[in-house]
Amino acid sequence: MDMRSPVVKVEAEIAPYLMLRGVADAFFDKLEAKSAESITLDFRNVHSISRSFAHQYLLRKEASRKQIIEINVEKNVAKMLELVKSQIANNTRRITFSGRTARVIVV
Amino acid sequence: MQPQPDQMSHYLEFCRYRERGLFANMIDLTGCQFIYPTTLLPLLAITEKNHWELLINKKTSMGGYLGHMLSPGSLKFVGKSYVPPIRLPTSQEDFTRVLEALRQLGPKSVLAGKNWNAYGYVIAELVDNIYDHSEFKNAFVMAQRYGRSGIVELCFLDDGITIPGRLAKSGVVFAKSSHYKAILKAIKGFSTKPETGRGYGLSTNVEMFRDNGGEVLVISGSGAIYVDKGAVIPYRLSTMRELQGTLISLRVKDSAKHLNVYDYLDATIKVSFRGE
Repeated sequence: MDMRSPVVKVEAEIAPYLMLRGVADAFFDKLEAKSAESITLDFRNVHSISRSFAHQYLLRKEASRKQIIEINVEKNVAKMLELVKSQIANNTRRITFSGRTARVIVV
Repeated sequence: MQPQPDQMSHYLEFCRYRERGLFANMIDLTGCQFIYPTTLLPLLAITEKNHWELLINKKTSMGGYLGHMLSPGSLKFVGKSYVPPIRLPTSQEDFTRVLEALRQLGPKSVLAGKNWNAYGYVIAELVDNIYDHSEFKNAFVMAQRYGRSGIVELCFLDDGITIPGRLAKSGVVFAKSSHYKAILKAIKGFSTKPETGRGYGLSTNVEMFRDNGGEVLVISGSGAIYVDKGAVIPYRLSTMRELQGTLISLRVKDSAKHLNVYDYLDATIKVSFRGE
């Protein structure tokens, strides 16, 4: 661990279950306000992350000039971050929604 | 002819109450035997908005249920099978705290344990849509598990600019008679936001519920779309049945609570993650 990089405990700052884009934004606003060029985010006890939070988190991380280091990331949280990172990078989405569309009903 | 889906019947029941309320300046539920979230949530919202009186008979089991559900201390009921109507706070962080409190309500809570990865995830994603797109003044979410039938119903309501309204702001305009097309476009993953990787919230959850035997009804403006495994039914709502906002109602058998959300985010990555 880089000793010059302050450690932020994500669970204490936000919650053990991460959700909502606005929460990700507010969290990153606080990180950006710190003077350190590198920040370590400790994800211990963070048990899940919604896709929208992960997406906003990754967008902000990409746009930030700070180095963001993640530690103690649980498997499912890491998986979601990887998944969304891949979707952003590839700019693709799987269009699977299909269904026989009935005639319009007027009510 | 296909029978009318229950959720649409429940929405039309709300419309009937609303019509009577316009004349009587109140909503009378004293004779009501049973009420689903799809009826109750918009009723609560319109009653509050118009300062109508809501009449309930607390001596009946339905009245008792409503009394508990609507009491100021309803969030303190440990182990209950519902998430009472929660008004979305202005601050998204405050909503996170409310949901966390509900998650800790007890093992029987709709959001407890493994249920979180199914229902908690859905609530988080669809509430995020409300904050991100709707420009709401008032918005609510509630959930109910029915022990006998094993059905869980989640309901979301906002009084914002509607899905067609949001698309129109981005230059994609649908006439009132085609509002259902706007909703279908959103369900299929169309996003008005410019960043890559958008458009997953509604589409993923509709697909996830549908593929697990669930049903979804989305009502917005003058249109509605109902989805289940068998079909997609579009609706054109007459003037008296329009909704100034968006209502999303999802139902699924509780046995589906081990839904794996990752299966619906990317088919090329097979994930066996089951959460906590």
